Amino acid sequence: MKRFIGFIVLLAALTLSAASCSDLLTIDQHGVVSVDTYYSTDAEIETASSNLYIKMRSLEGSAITLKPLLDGDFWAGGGQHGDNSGLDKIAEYTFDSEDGSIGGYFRGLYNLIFAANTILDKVDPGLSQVAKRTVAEAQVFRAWAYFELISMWGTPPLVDHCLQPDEYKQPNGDPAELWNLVNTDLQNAIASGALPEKSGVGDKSVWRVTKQYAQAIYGKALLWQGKNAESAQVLDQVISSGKYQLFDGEYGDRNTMANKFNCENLFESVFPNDPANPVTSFTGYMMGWRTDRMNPDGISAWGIEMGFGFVAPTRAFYDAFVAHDGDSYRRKQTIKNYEEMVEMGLGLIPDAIQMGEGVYMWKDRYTRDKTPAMWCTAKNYTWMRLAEVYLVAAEAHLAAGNTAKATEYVNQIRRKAQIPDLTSVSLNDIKAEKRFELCREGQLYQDLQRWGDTYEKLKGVGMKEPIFHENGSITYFDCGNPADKCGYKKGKHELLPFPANEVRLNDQIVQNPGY
Amino acid sequence: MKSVFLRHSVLLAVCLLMLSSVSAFAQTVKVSGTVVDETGLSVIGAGVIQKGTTNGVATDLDGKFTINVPAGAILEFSALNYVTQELPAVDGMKVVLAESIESLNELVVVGYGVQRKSDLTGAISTVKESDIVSRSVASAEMVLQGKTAGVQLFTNSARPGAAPAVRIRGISSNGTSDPLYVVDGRITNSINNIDPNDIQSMEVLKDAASAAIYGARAGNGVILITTKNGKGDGKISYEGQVVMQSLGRIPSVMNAKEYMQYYKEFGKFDDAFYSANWDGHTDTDWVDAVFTHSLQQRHKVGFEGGNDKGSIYTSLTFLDNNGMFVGDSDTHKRITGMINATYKIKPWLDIQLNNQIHQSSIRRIPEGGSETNRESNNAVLAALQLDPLTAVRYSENNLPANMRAILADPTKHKMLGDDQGIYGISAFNLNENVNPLIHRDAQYSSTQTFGINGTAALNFKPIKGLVITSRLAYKYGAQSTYGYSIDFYATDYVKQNYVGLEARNNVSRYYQWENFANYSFSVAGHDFNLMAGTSYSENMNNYVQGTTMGSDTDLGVLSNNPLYYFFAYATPTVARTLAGGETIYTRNNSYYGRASWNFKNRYIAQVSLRADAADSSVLPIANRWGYFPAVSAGWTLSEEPFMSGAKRVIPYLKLRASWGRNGSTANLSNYRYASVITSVGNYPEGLTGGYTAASSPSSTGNNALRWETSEQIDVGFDARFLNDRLTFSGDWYQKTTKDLIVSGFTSSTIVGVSESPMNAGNVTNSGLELEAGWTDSVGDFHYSIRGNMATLHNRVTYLHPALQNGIQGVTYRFAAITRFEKDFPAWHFYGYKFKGIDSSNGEPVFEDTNGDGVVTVADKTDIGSGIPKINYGLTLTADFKGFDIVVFGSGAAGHQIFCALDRVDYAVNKLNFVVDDRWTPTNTNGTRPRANAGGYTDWMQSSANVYKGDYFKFKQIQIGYTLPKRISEFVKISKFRLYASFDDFFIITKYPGFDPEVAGIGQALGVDMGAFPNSKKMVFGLNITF
Repeated sequence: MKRFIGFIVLLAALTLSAASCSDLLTIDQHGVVSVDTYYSTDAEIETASSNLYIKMRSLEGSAITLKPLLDGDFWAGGGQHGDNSGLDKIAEYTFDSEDGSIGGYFRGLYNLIFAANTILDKVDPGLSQVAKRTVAEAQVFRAWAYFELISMWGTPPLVDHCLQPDEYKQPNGDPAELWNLVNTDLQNAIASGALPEKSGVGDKSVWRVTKQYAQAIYGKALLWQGKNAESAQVLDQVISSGKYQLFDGEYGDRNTMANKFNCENLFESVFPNDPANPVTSFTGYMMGWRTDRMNPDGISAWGIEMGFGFVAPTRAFYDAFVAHDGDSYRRKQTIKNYEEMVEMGLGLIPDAIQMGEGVYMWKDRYTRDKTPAMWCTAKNYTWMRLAEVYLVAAEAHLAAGNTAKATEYVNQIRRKAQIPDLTSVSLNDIKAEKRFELCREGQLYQDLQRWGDTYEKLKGVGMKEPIFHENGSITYFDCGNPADKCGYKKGKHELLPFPANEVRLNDQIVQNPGY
Repeated sequence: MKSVFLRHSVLLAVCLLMLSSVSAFAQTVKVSGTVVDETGLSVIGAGVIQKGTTNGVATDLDGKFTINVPAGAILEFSALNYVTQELPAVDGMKVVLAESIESLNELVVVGYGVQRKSDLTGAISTVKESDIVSRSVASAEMVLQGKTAGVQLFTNSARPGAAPAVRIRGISSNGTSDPLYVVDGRITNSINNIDPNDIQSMEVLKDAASAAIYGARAGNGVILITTKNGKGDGKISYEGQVVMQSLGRIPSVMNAKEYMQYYKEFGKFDDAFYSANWDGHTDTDWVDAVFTHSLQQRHKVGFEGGNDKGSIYTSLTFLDNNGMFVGDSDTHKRITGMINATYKIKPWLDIQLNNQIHQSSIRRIPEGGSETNRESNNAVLAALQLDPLTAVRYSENNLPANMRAILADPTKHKMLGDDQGIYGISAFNLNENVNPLIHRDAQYSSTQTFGINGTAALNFKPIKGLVITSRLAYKYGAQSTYGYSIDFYATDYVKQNYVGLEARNNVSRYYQWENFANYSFSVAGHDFNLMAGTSYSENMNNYVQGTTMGSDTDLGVLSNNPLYYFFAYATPTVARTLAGGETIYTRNNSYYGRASWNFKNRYIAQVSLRADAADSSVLPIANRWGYFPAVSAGWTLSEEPFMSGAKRVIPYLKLRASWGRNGSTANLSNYRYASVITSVGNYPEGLTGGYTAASSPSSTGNNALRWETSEQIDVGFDARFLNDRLTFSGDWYQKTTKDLIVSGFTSSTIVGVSESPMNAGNVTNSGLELEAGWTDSVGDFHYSIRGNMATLHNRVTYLHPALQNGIQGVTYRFAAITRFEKDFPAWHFYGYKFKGIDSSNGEPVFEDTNGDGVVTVADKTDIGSGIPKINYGLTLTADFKGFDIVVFGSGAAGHQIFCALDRVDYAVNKLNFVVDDRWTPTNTNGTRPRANAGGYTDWMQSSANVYKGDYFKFKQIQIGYTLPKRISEFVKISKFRLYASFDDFFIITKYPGFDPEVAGIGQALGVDMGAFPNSKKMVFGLNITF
């Protein structure tokens, strides 16, 4: 019998070892916080909110290089053709689905959507005021990202939550569903009452997205959807809020370091002038003048930072500007001709050449005071300003039949530009006003597409590139593109291509036509 | 091995046989004799039959027999597990029976039990003690090479103390594919510190059904190690071995004259430069200068004994290997002790204890920065690349100009040297690899390892046929690494102005508790064995690591004296780092079971299932459980009645087939599936100057992440012919591993964050394995021949579409030269295909593989693989009147080696192979590029430097002599054997580098970047048993 005592003891041990090990198998990871338990305090939720602003800020480069090049008023620029072949392809309309900057913008927008979805999936808005505000912010950023995606790619996949590995392959989105998401997000954000507002036009303290910014992009989105009256109504609320007015200083200084958070801007991405926390941005260097070929004394006298001269305005744009405004205050504060540059000591050095036609952007000149460290900038990027709100609202009112209101809004802009009022506006007046007021700010390309004006404007681009010589002459040379391989093609360029890698990996997505 | 029980049953069987067949004869002589085995022990129950008749007897308990036969008759002596012998009948004859190579009744260790070899249904190879003793290898892994089909060894360094990577049936993963080791039931990932002489046998579970009992960790095969148990009535033994090592193959590089000519053609140096910097006679052979003769010695003392109540085996082994790099900077010292004991406490209870203690100390010379980048700080590569114009040492008053300039420059600190002079610094070749002696002396590193591990098991036998085992396995280990680097100057790239210190201490503790029961019973001629059990294991690891690093203005230590090279004497201002200090646990919980069925030894079948749960650092909680089933069957045709007629020719023939599923969690540790919060910087709060921290999920997280799964089918046979003298077995297998853990890619742009690792790759390995043996005796001359051969076909069959160019592997001169890519072998070579030399200009010409008219990087293509398609081994043994001989060799074929020993940016020395037939204006038909060819780097990375890796190496040629017992017993010694051996001495290969056996592992599979080669060894040994 004794032997069986041992036997029983062992059997008991055997059972014991099998039981209740599952607790021991759960071992917490050191040095990290799990996504599942985070987002439960205000401090944690604030870090998710900041993530939205950081992701949005990182899109500044694409917004301001890619989109102006697509709108036909700019050469790729740089030293000469081939200096940046990626930008050449954009400006020449020879890009394909492998294009890095188009793919990069697409990916960046979905990165922002992921940051927003993380909040919308994880943060309970009922937790606190911060939680409520963060959720509203996430809705604003997600809606804006989808506005960009719909207006440029047509049918981007609808991703409204953080995807699990078995969900990575998403089909093209349905435009109605996509717009519905944009509308709902913005309505919810506006209605939440959680978004901050400025205390008045002089308030420079609000750096977050505001209720008025949410309304502004909602109004813009409604116009894109053809809901003109609703659009006008929402945008009127922004204008009548009394919290914004057109910039009251020198026209060409709106975008300078001293005028961050000025009364006109609805939303800026913040680049601090803080050498201890510099933020990398190549954009200023890329789009600044080609300083190595310009008079160094002038460069130094004007405090201009090194630049490479990409996204250079076309002479046609300059000429149109002059034709529209006359040789006006706004033109001179926006874009300079070569004679004016030389006069200011900013001419080319002897025998220098550069790509372009001898006209130079002035309103967003890149000065040294904007660089806290090398390859960094302290220049905020303005995503929306009141001038655009006026012009979008004007178009909405016009389309909704309220020409008087439209005229009033356009004249607000013209007065600031110091050009005469119009008695009544047409759509063409609004188009022109937008083209010159918002040039190289990255907003026009989608307008052109919506208006259906891109084909006429861009059908022949990509054949020739200009070389500007120090003596003021311009020569044009052949880019080497066959005519049928460059320029805007109907049935194709209405939309941008989905990134090739997405199509390779995602057999659910149908590439846009022609790519 | 052969238990008392077995011998008795043999006796019984033979007696029964005899009873039925004995008959009487007239006109006879009476012949008596004794039958013994090779160790002199009596063979009980051996059959003694007059040839061609049914007249026969069996030997008694003392091995003695008496038989009446006609004068001049021939007697046949046979016994199970011995080779049958025929001898003329002579009264008083003493017959020595040789053991057959593999005995069918031999017990083979399988997971959680033992099985008779005849009952196996899977592919299990065994390496026995006889293959291990008297070898000069220090690590147990090396014993496997060439002895079993289907096991490949890959080595990236043969320095003292290094262990090779073992691959069973191919490369199954883009990550780790190490097999699982089970030592006396203890699961471990390394057997490097077990002295091979303490090993009784190693069983390699190759097929999935055999390995499946180890479930989630068995996907790369399982190696079971059984350490020795005490035998006999008290033995004291001494085994001593002295090994003289030297470099086996010396690659041929340019001598001074050739070097000067080459770099003159190159345009790098002119005669004026040579005469200003070369003394006119130095012609250093660096390889010869840095590799020398060295000594390894090993001494083992053992005490053992055993009877039917219990046994004890204890041993103490001391190993001291001073590697062949000149000086004492490459050493491996190890003391291992083993205490194994068993005791039958009650008829129904026995206890079994296995304990092993080891302490080792390893020092190594620098062999390159990391496993995948070995191009710099590599003393071995330096020996090949250094110019012959620089001497190893110079006396201080006879320095060349460049060294005089260094000496005169106070900013350049000190040049290194020893009492024979200052180490030469080249004026010609200033790359990151300098005089190997400088690399050796500029840093010091030593690793001390201590470990105690083992198992303690209780076996209860409450009723007949039931054995319940409770087994605790444990391992306690401590490792301490200490190193420093000193201030010195060699070149502007290889210098340091301070003393750096590094120390790391690591403790680990592992235990594993397993309870399982085996129950054997028979019902109506059907034999069953059922096994079920549980297992729980926990591993704890904790390390603390610190470094200090001085600067140009801070020496880092209070005094520049090795006595101050410790943290305690670091300067207060020195930069310090600290890491570790956290206790990391991993745990595992498992259930497993197996049922075996055997009917008349004809039909055998087995099913098993293991369920494993990994802890949350390995797998998400929701899918922590894995289930690993297996099924196998065997059919012993030779036991069928219809085969009885053929029994004389084919005494044994079995067909086997198995299928099983295994897993591998080796690449899953450290929460790879988890999505955690990471900081992404901070965002400015407008104009306030304040910031808000920002964070984001690090990755998508992948809660569907699972272990890599292998499924394998295996069909095989075992056969014996000609009275068991010839044995033969073969297997064909196909192993498909899916769900490889792949990371570092973007699967889709719309996901919005970097993806967590995914299960996104498949690999297939398939092959044929054959093992054959022949054993025979002619009088006192016994001999055997054993060979094995395995083929391997390895292919990556699927990889996530995001990795259409594969996973990039090791780089050589800034281009990845290996890739893990769909439709190719794992980590195949990738580069240009070399077509020839343009006779007009000496430039290399490459194939335009995509036919677009120009050669661009897009034309790079598959140019070989480091995985041998065939591995084989051959062992011959023979003995005659006390003399014995072993010849053992192994080889590999059908693979390539990427010889990555060159560069163009410095005036490095080169293999003669790549410069001898170079294009020159007078040799326009040259087959190698001209010096300073524009495409030289592309050529280096091309198929031109991919060589056939085929080799055959004589691993062992050993001659031994055992003193006749009558002499040795005179001095109370029961056995006295002396031997001499040439190990790794001869190699047949066309590879021009050091050693085709040492050419990278993992991503660098088959890439020779200048690693420590194997030595050739002369071994002298002595075994004495009292």
